[in-house]
Formats: sequence, C-alpha cells, structure tokens
Amino acid sequence: MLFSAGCVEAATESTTIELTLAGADASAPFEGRDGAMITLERADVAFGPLYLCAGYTAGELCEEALAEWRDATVIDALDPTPTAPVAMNALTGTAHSYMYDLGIVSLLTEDAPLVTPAAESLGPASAVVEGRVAIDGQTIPFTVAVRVEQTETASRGTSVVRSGESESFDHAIEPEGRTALLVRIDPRPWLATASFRGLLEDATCAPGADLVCSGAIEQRCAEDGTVAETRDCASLGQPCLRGLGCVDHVELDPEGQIGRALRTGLSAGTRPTFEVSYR
Amino acid sequence: MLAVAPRQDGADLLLSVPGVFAARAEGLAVGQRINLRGFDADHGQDIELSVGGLPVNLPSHIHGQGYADLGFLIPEVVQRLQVTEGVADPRQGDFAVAGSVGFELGVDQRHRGWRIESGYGLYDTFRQLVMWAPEGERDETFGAVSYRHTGGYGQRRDGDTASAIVQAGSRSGDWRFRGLGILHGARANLAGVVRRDDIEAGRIGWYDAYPDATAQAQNALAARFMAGFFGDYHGEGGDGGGFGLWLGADTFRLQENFTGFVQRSQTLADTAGRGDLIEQRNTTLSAGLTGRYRTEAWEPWEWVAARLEIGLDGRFDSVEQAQNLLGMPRNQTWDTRVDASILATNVSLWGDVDVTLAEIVRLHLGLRGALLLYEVDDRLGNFVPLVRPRDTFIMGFRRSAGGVVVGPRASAEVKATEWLTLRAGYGEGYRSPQARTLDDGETAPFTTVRSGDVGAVFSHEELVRVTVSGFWTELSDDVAFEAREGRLERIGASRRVGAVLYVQARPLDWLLGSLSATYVDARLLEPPPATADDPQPAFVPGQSLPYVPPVVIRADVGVHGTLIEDLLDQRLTGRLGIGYSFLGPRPLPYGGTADVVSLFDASAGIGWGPVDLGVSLYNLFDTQWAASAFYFSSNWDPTGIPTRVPTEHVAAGSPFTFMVTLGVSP
Repeated sequence: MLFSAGCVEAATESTTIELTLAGADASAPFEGRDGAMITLERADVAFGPLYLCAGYTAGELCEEALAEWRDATVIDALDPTPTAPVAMNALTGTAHSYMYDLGIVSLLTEDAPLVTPAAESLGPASAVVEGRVAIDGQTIPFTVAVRVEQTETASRGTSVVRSGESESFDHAIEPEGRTALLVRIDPRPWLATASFRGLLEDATCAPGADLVCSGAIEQRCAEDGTVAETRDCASLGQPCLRGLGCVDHVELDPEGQIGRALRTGLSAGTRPTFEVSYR
Repeated sequence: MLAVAPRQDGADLLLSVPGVFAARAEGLAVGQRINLRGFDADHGQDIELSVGGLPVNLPSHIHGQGYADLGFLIPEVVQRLQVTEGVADPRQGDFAVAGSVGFELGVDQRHRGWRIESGYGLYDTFRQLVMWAPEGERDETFGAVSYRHTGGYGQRRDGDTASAIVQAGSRSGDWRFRGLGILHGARANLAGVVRRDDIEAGRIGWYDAYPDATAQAQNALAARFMAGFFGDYHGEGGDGGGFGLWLGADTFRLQENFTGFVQRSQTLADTAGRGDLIEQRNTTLSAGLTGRYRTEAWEPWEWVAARLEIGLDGRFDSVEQAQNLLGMPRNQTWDTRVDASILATNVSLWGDVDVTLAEIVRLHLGLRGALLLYEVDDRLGNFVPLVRPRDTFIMGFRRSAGGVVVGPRASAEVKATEWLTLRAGYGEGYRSPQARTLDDGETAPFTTVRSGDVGAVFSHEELVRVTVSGFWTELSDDVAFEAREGRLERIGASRRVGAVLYVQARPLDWLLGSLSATYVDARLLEPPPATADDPQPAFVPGQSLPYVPPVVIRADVGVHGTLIEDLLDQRLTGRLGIGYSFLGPRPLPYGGTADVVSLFDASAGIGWGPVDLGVSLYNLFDTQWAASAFYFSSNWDPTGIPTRVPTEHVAAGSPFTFMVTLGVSP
C-alpha cells in the first residue's frame, strides 16, 4: 500500500523541448514588389523569447504558458543550418498558439521595453537586413535596421508577435524531453510589401530643387532651376537615389516605407515555420 | 495522548487525531493547514471545528469557505478532543465533510490552582501563560491568558499573538450551566511563497522572502471574540437536553503576494505590474443557537432500549469582505476585485433514533436538514470593464438565494466480543456555498458529501486498542487553492477511498504510545472543462487530488513517572515524549509533486513539587520541508524576461527549534 503511494497521477508533467532555430536558403535573388529583384546578403534577426500556449489565442490569454524559452539570440536568417539546440522549459499538453518577441521585450512592470543583448548587438534593433535590389535598370545596395516592439499600452507585457486565430497550430508536447521544435525563419517575405521604386526618381531640375535623379543620371540644379551639373551614376557602378544622388550604399530610414514594411513583415507578415518532431 | 508530544499551539493537538497533519504555513495570524482522511482542509473548510460548543468555521470567508483559525486555542486548557470522522452523526452540520473535531475545555482536578509558565526558545520566541483554575470548582471553570512572540525563522516570520479564555460552570438541580468567552488577536509578517527553481538556482534561500517591496509587505492580522452560554439537563430517567446561545465577531486582514508581477488592473486603464500584493479583508459578526432534547429510554422488551433525540442549531452571519491589489508606497490600491456584504442564515434540524439491542448492538438512525438563506450585495457585480465605459447600468449585483439540504445519517456498532467491536456508518452531509458564487434565486448549490465507513476496534483492557477502518467519501464539488486570487476555487467532484490504522498502547503504567497510518486514494472526478480563459486546465478527470498526501503517518511515544519519591519533601517526576509525522508525496496541479515530509519532535521535562522545567524540540533533525507547496505561474523578476510556465512554489516549514519552559503552580 505504501509503495503505491509514491505513484501520483496528474494532468500534465514537466518536460523540456529541444529548440533549434534556423534561417532559410534565401541567398538567390527573388522578386519583390514592383518587379524588383532582391538579393539578400545579410538578414540577422534577434529572435526570442518564445512562448507556446495551450489556448487558441496567445497574448493576454497566455499568462500561463505551456512552454517557454526566456532568451533571445541572433539568427542568420540566410543560413538554413539549425543552431545548437537549447532547452525550452515546458509542460506536457497540446500547444495551440505561440507568441514571441524579436529581442525587444515589453515588460508589465516597466514603461521602457527590455532590450536583450541579442537586440543590443544589432544596434539595438530587432533585425538588420542588407542586400541589393535591382529595379528599373538600377541596382541599389541597401541596409535597413528596425526595432519591433510592443507599442499598444493595453497590451503591455505581452509578446509582439502572436499566432493568428486562423493559423493552424496544433502540436503535442510529450514527456521526457521527447519533443523537438525547429523554428525556421525565411526572411524573404519580410520585404514583400517594401517598395524600392520609391527610392528612385525620374525627374529633372526645377526651381527650388537642389539634386534630382533622372533615371540613373544625377542632376545638380542651379538656383533658377536649370541643370548645373550631371553625373552618370551607372558609369560609377552606383544607383541614383532620390535626394541622395549617386551613392555606393544606402542606409534606409527605419521609419520610411521600406523600414515600416520590414517591421510589418516581421511582426504581422508570413510567420516562421514551426517543425515539431518526436524522438 | 494529548500530553505526550510537544505542542507549539492549540491546533497542534490535532496531531493526536488519527490521520491528521496540521501545519502553519502562513504565520501566526492565518489558520492552519489541516489534512484529514484525504482532505486538504486548507484552512479548515472540510472539517467542522468547534471549541467548547462554539463553532469555529466562518461561512463565505474571503480566504476560503469555512475558514477556521485555531490560533486562539491555549493547549493547556484543552481537556479532550471529540473526533467524529465521516458524517454519520446527525449532530454534524456545515463543513463536516471529512469529519468534525470538538475541543472540550477544562482543567482537571490534578492541575487546579494557579499556574504561571514562561518559555523562551530559538528565534527569539517567547511564550507566557497565566492560568487560574479555582480549587474546589468544576473542571470547566478556569481562566487562561497566553501571549506569544516570535522573531520567526528565516525572513519575515515574526509575529505576536495573545489569547484569553474564560469559562465558568455551575450546577443547579438537574441543570449544568456553562459560560465561555474567548478573545484572541494576532499579527504576523509573512515570507510568502518562493519558487523552487529560484531556490535551486541560488537566487533565494529556502527560508527567505523575495526582496521586492510588495513581498516585503506581506502580513496578516486576525482578531476574534466568541462568547457562549450553555445549559445541559440530565433527567433522572435518562432523558436529557440542552441549549446554547453564542455570539462571535471576527476580523481578518491579509496582504500576500503569491505571483510576483503578473496582474493587470481591471479598474485603472494602463495600470499593470505594480506587484500582485493581494489584500483580503473579512469581518464576520455571528450569532447562533443550539438546542436538543433526548427522551427517556423506551423499553418494550428487556433487551431493547430506544431513545429519540431531536435538536436544532442555527446561525446568522453578517459578512463584510473585500479583495484588492495593493502597490507601494503606502499600500496604494490599484485594483479592486471584491467588495461585498453578505447576510447568511442557517437553520438546521436533526433527529436521531438510538436503539440498543441486548447491550450488544447499538444503532443510530438519523436525519438532518438545513435551510440556508443568503442576501448578497456584490458591489463589484456586473463589473464594467474599461473597454465598455458607457454601459447602461450601474455596477453592482444585489441578489438573494436559498436552498434546502436533507441527508440521512446512520451508524451501527456491534460489540461482538469483549475485545472486538465492529462499526459501520453512512451519512450525507454538506458544505454551504461561498455566497458570492450564487446567482439571484439560485437554489443554493450545496456541496454535498456522501461518506461511508466500516471498521473494527480491538481492545484489551487499557493495554492496547487497535482501530482499523476503511472509508469512502464522494464530494459533489471540491475546492483547491488558486494562487492568482489567493483563495480557494471550485474544482469539481471528487472521491476518496482509504483506510486508517490506529494503535494505542499502554504496555506499562509509565509508557504510552500511539501510531496512526492513513492511506487514501483521492481522485478528481469532474474538473471544470477547458475554456477560452483557461485552455489548459490544471486538472483532468481521474487525476490525483492536488495537495492531498496519499499517506499520513503519526507516531507518538511517551514515558512519564516518578524519579524520586521524596526529594526535599517533594516528589520529583520526569517525562519524555517523541512524536513523528510523515506525509507522502503531495500531488500538485500541472503534474508537480511535493516532497515527502518526515519530522521528529521531542519533549522532556522534570517536575518538582510546584515547579516544572521542560524543553520542547521541534523538527529534531532540522529537515528542510515545505509546509505548503503549490504549482502555478509567477514572475518574480520584474526587470527580466517574464516566465509564464507553472512551477512549484513552497512556503518553508519550521526548521529545528526548541523552547525551554519554566512553570510554577503554587
């Protein structure tokens, strides 16, 4: 009788999930908005913390999570090789939703978010993307770094990226650490709505203008609106960008259209794939 | 057995009851956690407790339905424990789910006169007792005052408590009258609970409290006054009866933070994370009465004797209660969760037919019925959330509800031989509802309990007494602790099946021992289903009941006697006692399991004439044990990445401690 007393039956039990993170083989050019051909050379993202939830809606209804990884790391989203595995603290059960941050964490207790060392190492930023985009006969080398953080006061303390209610997410978490989770991040969809054409212009000098691009030709304007000087950026191997003229490389404004599009892509665009396997 | 092992306070006397384990997990001002027959009566809600005829459980209490704090008890004036396990006796009323325990107060004739006792021990613990039991008066006439201070083990466990109990008895013809008054107050700081993973990572010590302001502000206050007047009639023909009138006033205030920093205000927009310091306030004013009458024996044949006893009891309670979230500094209120007034009336009637057949078989057949009425002014009912500021109604939900519960009670006792008695019992009892959970006009959903017992008692004179019993109990709606609200919440129907072995032996005049072992298989039958708000419920059907240890063992051995018959014209006596408690692994929500508890206590003393000197040792081997263990999610790192996965939290039980006591009985 006493021996059976040690056997306690319960609803769930503590376990761990072996978590690995990986990027995608996205080094080949791909088509973006307006027919732009984008080639990514760097796509670093600060990923984490990550929570898996029992309910179908993450966020405030995930105050008690099924699994958590309370850290953040920089993922090279262009490298499909999984990172070294880390352990997620978990309970057995079925996860129906997830939520995560991108290195910048909203705290219930603080007005300012917590910037993790991973995000700090990027600038601080949640993601840094570098590449070249070919559009309208010009090739634009660019860099953009954005912060993705919780801005809704009412949602303070919850993760910035949450699975959608219509998203199918149904993964069992098994006991004894038998569950492995691979989160694969493809950076290509991040720039799906970014309009690089807005960086270009096809204008000519006019009164009040200082510097314009006429296609790949940089025009410096005189005070009366006539062309004072021209330069063929293409011959320099450079693009001519609106307001900048010929440049080797452009660091994009995170609050500009492309920066906003990237932020939207990271927080509300195509989600990572969650591949669950069991040992 | 009451005098064998050391007792820190009156509630520790419960350790003498087979299958009971009691521990103070929340300091001097919060009720004990009591385990009995597979019930984790967190604060007494499953055990009907009474002291000198005064009911102790408080209905619809904010901290837990049937909350009972025995902190007012002075162990030196507890003369007897009347324990009824199960609910087979129709005299058992509200909260008699696992059973009933009645403390009878008095000072026997050997100890009458003055007694002054001072004790001092580890952790700056001091206890002073002054007791007066006039010689020549009946046992029940005495007065006693006790004061206790402790610096507390670890951090934030200091506190003060004082109790005064006065009782006077007299006799007039066939009537005996008794008046009883109890006054008690306690205030103590609390260390609260700490996460086991924080302990294991070395972020906090086992006996520490979190350093955050809202953790350092945890404390509790309790004060209680009870008074009663009782009369007992013993007729010459064997008939009898009695009456009782009693009054009570109780106030309770608790500040406790279980979850750290996870709460959001429902009242103030954009306010969250100020620390989950729950404030609970409860004031109960009570008045009640009891009455009973037993007929003379009806003896149609020489071998049959039958008596009918009928009785009533009732109580009226006025309860004011509130629950808020407090922040620092100066206990700023940043959310309100409960603000309610409750008027509760309970009128019960019972009857019992007692039939004795040839002085071998004794049968009890009874019935108990109760009408319970509630008027609730829930001032935060129909709560207007922040997202709907323009609703068409004013907050508040006033309502009334009532219900009737009737249950049979029966028991049989067969004296098979001189040394063997067989027993069986069955009863259907109830626990009244937390009134705030009732809807308007709702037939009060009593928690009903069906309980059956079978057992046998083997006894051989005063040498040995062995009791073996099996029990089965089904409860329609159990409760368990909910950390986010800091109180008990409903978890559905449950069933317990178990057995108790109790051995009491006195092989020698100076040697007394007892052993009780309880095994119970306690399971949850119908936990609440998953909902959008709670998609992964902590419980599933058929799982082990949380917090209930499957095995409880208690053993006591005591020796006492005369060491020197004549030492300077006085007799020198000595005593030695050892007690052992064992709790099996307690299942926790979400699959956790609390460690087993294994504790030794000891006491020793010598007496010389009017003076006695004693030492009590608690937790002899300095075992690290959890007086309470819970499993829930919390976040105690306000500036770090929050944790959300439920984990084990513990409230540390007392480490090794001792107290040296000097008593004088002039």
